[in-house]
Amino acid sequence: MKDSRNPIPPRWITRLFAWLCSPADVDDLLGDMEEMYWAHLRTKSQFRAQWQYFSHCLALLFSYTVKKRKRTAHHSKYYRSTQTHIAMYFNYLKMVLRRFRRQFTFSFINIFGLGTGLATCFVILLFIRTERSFDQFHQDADRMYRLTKTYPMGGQVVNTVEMRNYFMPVIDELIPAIESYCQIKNIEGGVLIETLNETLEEGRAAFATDNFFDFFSFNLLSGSKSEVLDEPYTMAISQRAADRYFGNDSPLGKVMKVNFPTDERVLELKVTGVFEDMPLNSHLHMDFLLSMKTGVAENKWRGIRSFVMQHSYFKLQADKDVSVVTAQLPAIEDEHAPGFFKKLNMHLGAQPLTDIHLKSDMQKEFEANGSEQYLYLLGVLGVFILLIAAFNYMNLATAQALDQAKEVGVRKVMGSHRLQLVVRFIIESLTMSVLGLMLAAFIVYLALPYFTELSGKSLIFDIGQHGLMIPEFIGLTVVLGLLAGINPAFYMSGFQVVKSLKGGLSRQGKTTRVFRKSLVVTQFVMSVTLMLSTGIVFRQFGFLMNKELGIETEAIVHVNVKPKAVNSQFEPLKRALLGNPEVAAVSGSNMAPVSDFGLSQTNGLILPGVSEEITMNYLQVDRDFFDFYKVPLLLGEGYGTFSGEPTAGLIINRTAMEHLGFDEQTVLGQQVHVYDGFDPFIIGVTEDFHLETLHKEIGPVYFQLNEGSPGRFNVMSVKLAGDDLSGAIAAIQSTYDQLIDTVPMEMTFIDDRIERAYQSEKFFVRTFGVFTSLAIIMACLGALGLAMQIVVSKQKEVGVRKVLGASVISITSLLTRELMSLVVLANLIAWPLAYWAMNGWLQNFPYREAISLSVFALVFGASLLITFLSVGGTSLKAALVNPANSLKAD
Amino acid sequence: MRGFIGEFEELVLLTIAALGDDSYGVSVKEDIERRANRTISIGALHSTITRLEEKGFIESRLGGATKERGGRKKRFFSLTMEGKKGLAKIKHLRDELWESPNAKLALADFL
Repeated sequence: MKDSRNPIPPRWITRLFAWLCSPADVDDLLGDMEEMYWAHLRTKSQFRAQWQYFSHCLALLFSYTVKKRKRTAHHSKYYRSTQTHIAMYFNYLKMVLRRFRRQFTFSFINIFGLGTGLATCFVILLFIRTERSFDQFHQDADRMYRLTKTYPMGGQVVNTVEMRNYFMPVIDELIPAIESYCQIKNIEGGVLIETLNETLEEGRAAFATDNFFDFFSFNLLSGSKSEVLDEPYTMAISQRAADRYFGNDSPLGKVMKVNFPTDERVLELKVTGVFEDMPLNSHLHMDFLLSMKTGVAENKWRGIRSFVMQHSYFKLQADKDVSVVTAQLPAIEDEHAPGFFKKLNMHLGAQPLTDIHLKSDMQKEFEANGSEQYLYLLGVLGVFILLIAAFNYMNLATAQALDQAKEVGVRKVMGSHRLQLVVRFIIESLTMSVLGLMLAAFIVYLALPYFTELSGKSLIFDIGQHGLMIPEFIGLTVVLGLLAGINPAFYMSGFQVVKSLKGGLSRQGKTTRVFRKSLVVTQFVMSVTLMLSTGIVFRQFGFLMNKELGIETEAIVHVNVKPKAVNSQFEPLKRALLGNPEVAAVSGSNMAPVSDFGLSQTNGLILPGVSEEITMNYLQVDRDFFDFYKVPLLLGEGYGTFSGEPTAGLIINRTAMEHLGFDEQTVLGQQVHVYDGFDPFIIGVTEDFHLETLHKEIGPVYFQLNEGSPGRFNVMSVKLAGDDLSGAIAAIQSTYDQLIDTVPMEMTFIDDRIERAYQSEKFFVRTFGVFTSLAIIMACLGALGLAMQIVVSKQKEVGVRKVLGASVISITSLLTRELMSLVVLANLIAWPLAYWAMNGWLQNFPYREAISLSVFALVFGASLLITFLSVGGTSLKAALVNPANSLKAD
Repeated sequence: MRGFIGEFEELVLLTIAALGDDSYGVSVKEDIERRANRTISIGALHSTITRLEEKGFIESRLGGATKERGGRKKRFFSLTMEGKKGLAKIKHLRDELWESPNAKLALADFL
């Protein structure tokens, strides 16, 4: 026999054979075959020998022998190999459950930690999925886009999605890659529906081109898809509206009276279709879709300012890229856009439909969108909490290792492989994780409504739409179980038999201790970072809510006077209100603090001798405005004392003064030209104050006195006198009702407006708060686990010290000192992390509170206190143990 | 006695008897192949052995690992009383036939 030949038959065949024969005992057969293989090797080539070996295997597999032996194995208790394993698994489970019963507190802490971690992750996952599902339901969502318009103004870039409606048809004609397009004109302020008995407000109304239902995948329940919005004076209504106005009757063919309050125009429109309520995960939510031809037929819209300013959507042909379109847009702007386009440096662009909800924050959005940034933050939070849960388990499990050392020893003596023990401990962690899953399901069930309220997003709806994400949840549970269990499993399965049986395991190796400590430090770094972030977010939120706007905002309500029926009664209403003793002052303006400037409120100021105009926002105010809001004046006078013609004087703010290139000495008396208008002199300069929310920097603003036509005012500000809030409101209501009976009064408190403006911050603050509390609780559990471990490992030391006369206090401090120092270390690591992260977040706000040391100090103190509270008890208990008990063990 | 003993079964039984203490899978296979000058499949051989065991003609015991077998045990076979009786009965039947006068006449050249 040549030495180079491999005397061993191919392993894989042997293994395959053994595997296929399981559970039969085929050792002798394999022996026979190997013997023949050896014999063949002497006379034949290795390949032939191997081939023979293989064919023998096959022959045996198909022969009666193996089948018979397998059959007997099933009846013989000596051959039940797989069944033995199953019995073993049952034994593992039994041990887990026994431990669960005996160590109830420990197990409960474990399950609670894992369950909360899982529940948090589930909610976050659901939330992320809901947010990402927006507008995905449209059939060709991946090739649908919306036109955008961008231009610079006052040092900032303005993005809007409203633009003249003639762009889209031109683009469609010039670019063949566009398959179809659809345009929508949003009716800001909504419509009123007049029925026989009452007038109801409907906020969600729009004009839409006739292919709306072909273009978008909204379900038309009745009416014909191709004809529904074809004719002028027709409309489609949502199921909700149909139920509201027609109950069980079919609305098709019925005529509804639609009142446009901003225009005082009442149209009779025929219902030609009913569509399913637009799903929550759509950026469009309309109840009344009026045919675009209605809008065109009714020309000269007054209140629906600039009817031609519309939202344009287009659909690309399949497998065309949007760059085909965007590349051609500049050329189309050059050729077809009106003159001001170039002058204002306006540019068109396109954004994917599915990006609208998370990535778009433009002027004239239909409704407030979500934020991708918050999704990322939530994702990070979820990972943090899951990690903390896993670390907790590791800590608690290894803290308990001593308990299980005997079991490990006995199992090893009985012949367990290390791998089997690993499996046994992983089964334990998986069981805990699965029990945690059950708890999590319960928590999620309880928490979902609360979270829905918190976020304003219905996750329950999402579950209805997309199912429960069961595979993801189970996957996450298994991952968590493995993550948490793998380390303790390898640690405990590595115990030496003799030591574990003798009980000599009280001292752990240095690496183990360092590892365990670093787990606790990591945990505390995460929770301290979260605590710090929450503190900073809370402070910033409080800052936004309470920052002085620079004007008086106490006891002020705003009455909406945009509807023409109200608007025409502006002066009588103002006089009547001033007659009430409950009302201190009344003022009109086209916008009230705090809100966002619309696009319509921009205009250019032109300096004499300069051709370029300076674009800025403007506010139309009445004479009382400056006194009403106690606007601080920097120079000159307010309109209250101004005696000239309304068009002869102009007041600007400080930023506008700087933009115009004046300084405090030169500004008064300068003449400027208001674009398309008059040539006033600057009579006053105000200090900068906030008209918009604190998300935006104060820009240049001019204030234009409007006396002759209060019809351009949208808001009437009313200052209440005295403390009787409800009496004052009732008085305003009755005064209003006496004068105007067609449009119900719409009134808001300035405080509510401010609060509403910071809705998304509020959500952020609350979610952060909730998750941070969770993280803190879980980190405390981890600390508790470590404390228990320390106590066990120092049992003897404590006994000896006590015998030698140490006091309970000194022993307690001995036991807690180590953990406390870990928490201090964690704080030191967390500070720069939190500072870096939160500093980045604060950059979103032009007005922010500086990160103050007091937050750090507070969190430092709190983390120490919380740790002490959670580990103090365990340590104290250990310090009180009778030394006789702890020392007699050896 | 249960069942009928086929030709190949008879051959295997006789070989096991002939090999005595050293009858296990490979030796039985090689012996038959050598004597009968035919190749037999190991699958067929073991099937037959298993059936014989099932019918109670042979019994087996484990033992004797050698290095050539990768340290695996051999399964040695031996005849049971049933097996011996069965073989004897067949031999008796055949002898009777051989001894019959006509058969003697017809087969005289081959005796």
